[in-house]
Amino acid sequence: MFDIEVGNHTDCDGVTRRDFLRIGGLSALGLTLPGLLEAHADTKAGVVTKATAAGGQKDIACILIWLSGGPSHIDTFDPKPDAPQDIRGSFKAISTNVAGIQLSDQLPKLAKQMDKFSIIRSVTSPDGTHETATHYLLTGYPFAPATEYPGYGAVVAREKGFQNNMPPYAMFGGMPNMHGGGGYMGAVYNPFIINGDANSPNFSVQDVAPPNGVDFARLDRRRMMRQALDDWQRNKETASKSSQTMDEFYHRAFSLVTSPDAKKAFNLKEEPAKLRDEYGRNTFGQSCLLARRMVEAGVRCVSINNGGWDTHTDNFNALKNNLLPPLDMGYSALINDLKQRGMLDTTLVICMGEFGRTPRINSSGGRDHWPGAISVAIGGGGVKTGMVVGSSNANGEYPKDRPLRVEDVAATIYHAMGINGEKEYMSPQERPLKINYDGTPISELIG
Amino acid sequence: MPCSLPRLSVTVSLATGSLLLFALQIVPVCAQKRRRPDVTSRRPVAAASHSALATLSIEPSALQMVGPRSLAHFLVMAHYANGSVADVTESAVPTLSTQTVRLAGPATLRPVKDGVATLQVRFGDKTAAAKVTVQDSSKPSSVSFNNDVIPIFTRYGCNQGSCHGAQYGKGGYKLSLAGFDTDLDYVNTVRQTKGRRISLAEPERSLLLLKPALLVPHGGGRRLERGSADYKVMAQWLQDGSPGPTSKEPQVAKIDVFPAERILPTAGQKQRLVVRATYSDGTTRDVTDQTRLTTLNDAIASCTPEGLVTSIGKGQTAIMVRYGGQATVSTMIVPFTPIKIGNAISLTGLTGTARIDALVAKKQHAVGLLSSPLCDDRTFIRRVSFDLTGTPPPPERITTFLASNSSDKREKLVDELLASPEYADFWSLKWGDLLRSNRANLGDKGMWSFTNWIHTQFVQNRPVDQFVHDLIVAQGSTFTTGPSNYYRVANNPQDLAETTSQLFLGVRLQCTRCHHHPFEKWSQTDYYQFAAFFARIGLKNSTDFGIFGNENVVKIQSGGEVGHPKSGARMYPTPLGVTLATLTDGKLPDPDASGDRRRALADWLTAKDNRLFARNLANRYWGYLFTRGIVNPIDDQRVTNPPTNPELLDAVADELVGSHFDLKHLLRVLCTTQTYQRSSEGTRQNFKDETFFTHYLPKRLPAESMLDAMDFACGTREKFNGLPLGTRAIQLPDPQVNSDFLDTFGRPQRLIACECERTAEPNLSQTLKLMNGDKLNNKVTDGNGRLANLIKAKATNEAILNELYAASLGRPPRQEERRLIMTALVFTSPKDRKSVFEDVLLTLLNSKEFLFNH
Repeated sequence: MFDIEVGNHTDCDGVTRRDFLRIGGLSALGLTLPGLLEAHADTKAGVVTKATAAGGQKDIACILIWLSGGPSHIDTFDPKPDAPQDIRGSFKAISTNVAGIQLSDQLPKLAKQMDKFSIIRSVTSPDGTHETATHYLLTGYPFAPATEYPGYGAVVAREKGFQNNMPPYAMFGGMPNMHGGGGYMGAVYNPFIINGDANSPNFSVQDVAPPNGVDFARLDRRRMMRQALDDWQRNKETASKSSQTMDEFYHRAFSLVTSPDAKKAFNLKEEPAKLRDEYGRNTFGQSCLLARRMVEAGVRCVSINNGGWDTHTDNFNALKNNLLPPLDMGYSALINDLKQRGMLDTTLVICMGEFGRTPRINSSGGRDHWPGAISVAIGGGGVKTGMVVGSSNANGEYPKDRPLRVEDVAATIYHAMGINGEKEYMSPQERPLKINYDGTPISELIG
Repeated sequence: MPCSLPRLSVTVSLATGSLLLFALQIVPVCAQKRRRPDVTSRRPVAAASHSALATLSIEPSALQMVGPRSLAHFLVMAHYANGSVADVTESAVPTLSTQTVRLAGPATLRPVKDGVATLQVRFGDKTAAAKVTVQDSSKPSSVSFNNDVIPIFTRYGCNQGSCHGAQYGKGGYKLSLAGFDTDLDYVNTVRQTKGRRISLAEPERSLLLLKPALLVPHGGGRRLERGSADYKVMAQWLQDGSPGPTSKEPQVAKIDVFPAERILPTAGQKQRLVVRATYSDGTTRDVTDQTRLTTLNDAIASCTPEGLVTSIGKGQTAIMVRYGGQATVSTMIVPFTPIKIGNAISLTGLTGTARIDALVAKKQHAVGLLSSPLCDDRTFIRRVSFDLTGTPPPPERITTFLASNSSDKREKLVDELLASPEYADFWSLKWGDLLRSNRANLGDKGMWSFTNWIHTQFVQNRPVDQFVHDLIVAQGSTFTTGPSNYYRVANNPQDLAETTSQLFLGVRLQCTRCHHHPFEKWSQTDYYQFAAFFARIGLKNSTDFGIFGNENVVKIQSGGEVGHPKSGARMYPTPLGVTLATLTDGKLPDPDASGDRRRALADWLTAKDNRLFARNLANRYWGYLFTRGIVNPIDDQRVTNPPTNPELLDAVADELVGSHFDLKHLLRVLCTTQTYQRSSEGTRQNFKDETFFTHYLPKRLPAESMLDAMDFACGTREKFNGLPLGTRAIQLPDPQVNSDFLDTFGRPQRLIACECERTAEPNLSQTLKLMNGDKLNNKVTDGNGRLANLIKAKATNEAILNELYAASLGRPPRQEERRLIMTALVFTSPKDRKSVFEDVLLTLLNSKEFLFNH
């Protein structure tokens, strides 16, 4: 058994094995003039969107709280107070502000916001390995050695493109197990990664704020100089595609750096101290708050990675002392804040990890990997809130009713975002691949 | 992990076997193949661009039909005096010499009785003839599951990825994708679900017929007309008692497509394809109607499932042709500009660079393209310095080179660069990537031992065949014998087979770990026979470096075999593409006679006549210099991914083999070709071309070269963790030396044996780093940097400007650039002068001219 340090993002399987599994079938991705830059034109042509989205014609944004390592469903969203001690564990169940729905007593703040999200308790998957299950939950496709599928945010980026100069897809921390990026569509759809600790007093999004001593006047001077001096392949008509693409990105980057909206979005100091306290003065809490600001500014998908949930040993202390309090605070503050601002109807918030954990507590006081029953918290952006869909059996081992697959969760996400999951993309191997494998949006949630 | 849900346990067991299968679901062909349209109107072909008709030909030139159900399609090709060719099948008038065969369509023959006939066709004032042979026309022929039933499944799309060929099948019925696993298909069709799919007593009551004929509900709709020829074949098979595949029946040995290459002069031109299979018993069969035909680039030519190609846009594409586990291509060329036949390029007596240039020109001629002019000296020295050494040319070298009047100064420069220490640094970085030297896997000592060994190979210019031979037969401590780390990076027979075939042959075998390759002839047997070379490798832990020293010793064990995953049969170690039967008369020598079966592999792999080996290296090196390979991706050599110019690839491979695998020689030859020295500016005529090397395709500088070039321009030195100051990025031993900058710009992490791991794709983070990042800004403004020192030394504006341009772009500022910057300085207070120059330097480093090698 490995000693897992809480907050450390290493899982028990050690270094990412995916990359060794991954085969060379992935050829050089042939995207030279990134579709990302043209996505909007595409949308306007009516090729992409199905106007049957739950949110109607509104642009829906998405915030994904990713609990890397696999959170225990029984100790969070699917408590089993009536199960034997070696299954229910040391936490109790508490009532929420929605009659009939209970949560773990370690989530008291979320219990007061139960009307602002729903829980799917009957998701089930055959995959109990971190690397491959992460791919499954983050893309809606079972892991395949030859093909890396794109994450939800990457698909949204491709379908909807830039908005208000903000990158369409952003992520706190790196991609979990390298999944959830552009996959076969190309690195151009990878998330814009935000490194650093949002809770740190001198936090800034890397490379977005100008370096010391460079003000906006100088930035603009540099832009004008580049325009005047960089005349290599100036002739647009015969310029190589790679050169044109680089110009496009320069234009995007400059807009981002100089945009007052972007500058505002990344500046947490503009938030009242009280609200910052409510989100929790920790990395996760402040990342949630920053995510809200970024969505306001035009980012379409924000992924917040919260690691350390691989609690093979000492599950209850780890959850009680380190993992659940910040989650409870940050997640509840986020949905409450979104609601207060009238943004919850246009912002889908999802909280999940790659699998659940074994109902039976092991000899080290931990719980091991268990994909048979996974709880997914989801709501907003037109997805109904204050509901529970499906249930797991008495011991939380597998679905009792309404068994749902990860593909169905993915279909629900795409449906809410107004993306036609049936649309096909061409992989670099010239193989048409649907956005969503074969899931069905969960009818109870989309009404 | 226990799994109590029944549905799940099924999924789990399926998932293990067919994950790959699922992953490789291949392009579904259009739902259904229709019959060839009957062409009744025989209108003359528009021959606007054609000159006088010279000759007529029939393809295939001899036609054979075996058995009562056989048929033969033929093509009639008109050859004109100006060298152009047209498909006139629809307009030609066929006549038959005897009643042995009959016309079953405008260009389709059916057998009547056994014998020989002559097919004569007339078009215009010309005729052509072909011999037609008919055998076994009245012999009642049994229906073969492999050769008749499976092709019907394929033809009607039953076994495509979106139907029963899906990972878990459809409706409980699973077929192997495109029919590659006939044994599985037979079991699932005949035996699964207690045989309810077939009724031998009442064949026509079989679900196998009722479903596709939509006589009972079928999720896939109607696929097969009741009473059609194919329906009858299926019914006959059931009538015969649904015989299974046998090892005696002939197997498809190869397929040929007619025509193999065709120039379609303009858009909208048509060409029919005919596909012929040759079986292991020597007979041939027209399989056009059962073949899967897919265009590789539908912007250039489309292809219907029936085999009618139509030209769409300009360029060259291949039509992928797949039948019975074999694959081939037909090349379609649509010239960019009308071509003038006649001034053909002669290759006689040409060798080396001249031969390569002539072959490039010949292809360009065929596709109607003209090259850009040669680049100037200044462009050449920057280009070739980055390409050969990953390093910008120092201004002094540029000055000397420009001043030289020698007629062979470019050749001399190439020699000078190849002899420089940076050559070895840069190419060991490249090969370190490919061979994945990485301390994360190998430990510090293993990584250094591997990296240093690779470096030595390039310092000594070791012939690449010997270099690879050493890797394959390596043994001993991973800490003291560098190449033995090859067996720690990949450490089981499967991974070693995949890595070895991809790296040294350009063959991607991965698909065949689980099933027949969807785009290639390689089978699972080929895979495991190749893997068997690595069956006896042992990795022993050694404590010579202490119990936590993590040293491994690669050694040969006395036992160990690789078995076929399905049959369990022991696999005899066999090189790729070698048929065991042709190797010996059934008696196979002991593979371990030499004590190490890898010796036989290494000898075969690096043999002079192993074209796979030579072509793979030739293509990679061509790709490194010319930005695109002759085959692309540069490490994916496969029949269905053909070279854009096969003769050129062979000439480059010959150059490598002829020089006894001297990589410096190869680079010298390539860099001194005219093709390499073309300007990167496209002309109006050729700028769209990215395939035929009409102009140099710019490439973004590799991450390491970019960082080094920035340091050079700024007069700074990057400090890497754990390495002495002054170590350059191209000298880094592995990607574990942290550098956010290098990672952002696509430095590979050395996790996979694929060239694609290094990426030059742009993204927002890169641009932000260049425009706004602290690292570059700090280099530009460094107090001991180039600019600061120039200011301290009270250099004039003119001198500073010249030096900044020389150090970054390798050229003086142009008049217009000078004027702009000097004007800006006029309006700047002296104390802000430094900041203006900082912005100039940063701008230069942000310019495409700097970021690209061009």
